[in-house]
Amino acid sequence: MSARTTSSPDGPELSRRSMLGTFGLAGASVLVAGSGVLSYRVFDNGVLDAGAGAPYEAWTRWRDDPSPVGAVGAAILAANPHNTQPWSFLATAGSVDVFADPRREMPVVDPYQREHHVGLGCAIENLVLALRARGHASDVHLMPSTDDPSHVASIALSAAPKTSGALHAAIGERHSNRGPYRAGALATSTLRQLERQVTDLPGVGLRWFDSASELREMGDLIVSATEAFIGDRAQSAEAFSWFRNGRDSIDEHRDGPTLDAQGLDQVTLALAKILPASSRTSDDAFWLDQTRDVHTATASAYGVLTVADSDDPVQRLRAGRALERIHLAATAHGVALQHMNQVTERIDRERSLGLPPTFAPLLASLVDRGDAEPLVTFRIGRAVRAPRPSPRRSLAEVLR
Amino acid sequence: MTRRRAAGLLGVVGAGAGALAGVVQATIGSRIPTWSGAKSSPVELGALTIVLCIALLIPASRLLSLTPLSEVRRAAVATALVVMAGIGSTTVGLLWIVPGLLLLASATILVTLDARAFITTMARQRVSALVGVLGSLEVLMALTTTPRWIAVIGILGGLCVIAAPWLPDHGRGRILLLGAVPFAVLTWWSLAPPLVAALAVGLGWRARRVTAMQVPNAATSS
Repeated sequence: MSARTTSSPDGPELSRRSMLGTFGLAGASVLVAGSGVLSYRVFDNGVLDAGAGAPYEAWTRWRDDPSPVGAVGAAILAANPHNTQPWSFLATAGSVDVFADPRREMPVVDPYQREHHVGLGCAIENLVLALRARGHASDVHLMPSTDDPSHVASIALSAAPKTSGALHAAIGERHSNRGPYRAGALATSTLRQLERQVTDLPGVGLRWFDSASELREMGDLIVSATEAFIGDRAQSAEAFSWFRNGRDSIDEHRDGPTLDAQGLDQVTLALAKILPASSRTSDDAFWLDQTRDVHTATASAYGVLTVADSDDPVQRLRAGRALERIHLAATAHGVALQHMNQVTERIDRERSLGLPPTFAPLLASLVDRGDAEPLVTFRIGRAVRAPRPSPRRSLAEVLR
Repeated sequence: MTRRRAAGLLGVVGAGAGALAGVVQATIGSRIPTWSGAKSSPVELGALTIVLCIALLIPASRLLSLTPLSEVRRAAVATALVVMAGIGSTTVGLLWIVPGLLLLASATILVTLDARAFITTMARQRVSALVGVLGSLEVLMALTTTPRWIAVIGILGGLCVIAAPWLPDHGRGRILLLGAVPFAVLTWWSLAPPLVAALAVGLGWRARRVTAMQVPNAATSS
């Protein structure tokens, strides 16, 4: 191979070696430019720091402050609908008051604030557990004010021995796990242990679906509800408006569902973050696929919490406390849990639009608990992979 | 004052101001999100900015001295100033406006001392320049990596990759591998670091051969 160039009327001709070198360098430059774009996406979208930084600090600092204000740090880690974190708190030395934040309602997805109140109930449960661990007994009064429906709980404190059990210890580890679960049923004893969490909450019931036929029927109903949900443009758009696709959005809002919390494996998650943000319709298609092929396909059991009147805020708050206890107990037992409320979201949507009810009679017939009304649904099982935390607003943002 | 000394002065002041911006980010960055870029890890990013700015003070201060500087070193210092101007804009947000402009002004003066020589040098060292870009990308990705010990490995590794083509022959390849491979292995699942490492090692090897074949350049500027 010659390194020399030869002359021609059009100027010097490149030798084969020079040409290869030129093309090689051009190709390398293109590759470097491409890797520059990828690297910037890795940096900008937090591919290498999933679940780290200020929006996630609440998960590791919730025990730091021994005062009642510190207990609010545990309350904000509670399960809540679409990670809207619909709460604010007023904490003093002798009491803690919990308020609903109407700016964080989802009027299309949750038109009657069913999930809104359940989420607030979850926060109240965490608060009570964290106060007890700090040496405060709690006297909880739900919906204490007839004038102010946003004042959902008033908790009077009194001195008590510090008690920290398994549920309290699980507060920082509890996350909704949207990944695949291992095949196989859960032991009946595990289901009974979870069921015991609701026995002292009057009016709240728990119905398990764990036989093969029940799993299939409930799974089919959830998939149908998901299809109806994404077929309803307004409902889909409102849910999508809370989705935080990028790290900048997470840092700014510190709420909403994120890619990190979707239960994806590491490589898929990295790819999803590197690629451009997806559209609402592609997100919906992904959600439907996940619901059909992962969530319902790998559930070991479904649980449905029931109350006598699903429109009563007090019963919803009480059921929220039950739901949080079940999730904490599941976490303590190494059992994964995912909240799946597509069916009840469609029930409320049909009702709010005055449409003939399609999902309400189907769910009522599946639950088959007489006058008890289904309130919220979840699936449980043994997780294939650990869940990642969701972002949380800081204490300063939720304290009055 | 010569233009080279003016470039050096701007570089030193810019690096100093950058270090100060790092101190502000690390101490009160979370309280001034509009200015600090609302970073999720302001303390770590502030500390990193301080370290890099202090490191930049060394080559920038060389411009103030009367010691002759080869074209290659001049190009390397200009590149370092530009790279730091870019990195700082991602670590301390709007706090970087003044330091960034000072560093870019310094680099511009340095380049325009003899633009033709700079272009010739960069053309001759183009493969090394590409390797430098890849090293900078490794640093960029490492900036937000957790756990932090992996971030440290990535930052140090990226700096090794940037430096490797400019080091003497002996041990250059080892530095390149040490710089590129550990971070790529630790973050293999995120796709970009392994790609950057593969390119850096491949091109770095080529850069090594090119540099070794070159006749030493004795050109100096003042």
